[in-house]
Amino acid sequence: MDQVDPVDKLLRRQIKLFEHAHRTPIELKGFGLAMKQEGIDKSKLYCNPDFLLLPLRECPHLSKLRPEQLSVLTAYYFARAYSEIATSESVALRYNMEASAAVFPLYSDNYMVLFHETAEEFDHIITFRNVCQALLGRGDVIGGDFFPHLKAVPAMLERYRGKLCANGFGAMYLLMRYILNLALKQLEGFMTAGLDEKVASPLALQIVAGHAEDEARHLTTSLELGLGLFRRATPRSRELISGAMRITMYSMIDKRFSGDAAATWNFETGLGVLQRALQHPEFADFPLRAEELRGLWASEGIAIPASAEFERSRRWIAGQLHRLAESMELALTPQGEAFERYLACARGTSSSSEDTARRA
Amino acid sequence: MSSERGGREIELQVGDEVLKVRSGERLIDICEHHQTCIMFSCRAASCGTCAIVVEQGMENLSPVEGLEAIVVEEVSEGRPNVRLACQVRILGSASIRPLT
Ligand code: FES
Repeated sequence: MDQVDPVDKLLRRQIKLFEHAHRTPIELKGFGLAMKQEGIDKSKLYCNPDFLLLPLRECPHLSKLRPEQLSVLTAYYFARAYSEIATSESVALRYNMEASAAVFPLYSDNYMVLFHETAEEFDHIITFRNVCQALLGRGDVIGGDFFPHLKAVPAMLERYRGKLCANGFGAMYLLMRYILNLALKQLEGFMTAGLDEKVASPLALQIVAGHAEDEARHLTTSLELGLGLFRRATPRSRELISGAMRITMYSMIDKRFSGDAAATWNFETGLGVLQRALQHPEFADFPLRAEELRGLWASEGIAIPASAEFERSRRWIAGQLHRLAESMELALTPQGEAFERYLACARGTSSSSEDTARRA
Repeated sequence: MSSERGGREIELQVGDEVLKVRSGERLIDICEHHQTCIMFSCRAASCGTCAIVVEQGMENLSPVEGLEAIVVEEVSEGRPNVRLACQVRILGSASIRPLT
């Protein structure tokens, strides 16, 4: 019986999904441009305030925020999240085409899968640039300099260029893209979860939903095509990729499965967004600056609560990492508390009570 | 999931487990809440990870829409009664298990 190559099978499905998705226009640019015209709609929320990593109910000052102030705060958070997502996509733009050209004939159907995804990344970047202009007043917050941690991926790829066979280079890039996709999907998946549609900015909801749809497809391409090319790579390339992925996964596990739940979510981001928001005219009468608030939380023992949503998201990411390790036959050596927590999440035996909220 | 609660209580068998759930809930939310044997990844009918076989109660599931048909065609390899947990709403009693 004829066996269909798993890579060909995946690509055939991705082409069909792309065609289906684009039969009705799903470009996001229009939403970004509409938001640019509208600016911050202070009667609406841009993300779920529970997502903000700030003690909004516990802090005596933040618990008194007016709806308009909360709107500005969520708008800034929304823009901050999407400027980071767009920065990561700017990495994808370049390497999508390089990886595709390395392994597929030019303009073949297979080549075009990554080309389509590149075109979608451009659409997203334009959209998010307009979002940043609308909400933060500047569109130049997209790019490596604003998020230096995202420079690690290109640096790693460059280090391995020439040391890997063509399939290996494609696999390394796509598996790294998968890890980035996981982090971004975790960020995006939370933002509007549980947000009442009556108080939510319709444009924000449309952007999140539209982008999530594209990214779902990209996530699948990253994982399945990455794994397919990994299996086709030479033994030496596979060894190099396994080593690099093992390091990347350990570092992700250490960060995402720390006992300090809020540290996992980058507490400094929440504080940074608050700091910016406090400079908005809507906060002119706010009595304290961000650093003073932080001092207050520390002295009063005010913690950022870890939510059930957080635990849910952590279980999801553990499942994905576990699947990746199994598919690559990567033996991860158990080490430390974070690793134990990751395993418990991946096996579905974790309990949310073990999360501790972070003391400011 | 909380916003979707409120339907009548029904029985859903997932693998060997019998769960009491509310009609109208999305299957992926149920599985996630109960940490069952169903895996998922994209949550958006793009990966096929959450493919399930419906052993009983196909008529009690929401109809196939959008991308689901494409992915099911690819992952089912001709097997009948395959659906995607991330797309299905449970409207009445049913029995399901993971595809693989
Ligand atoms: S989770 Fe990917 S198709 Fe359902």
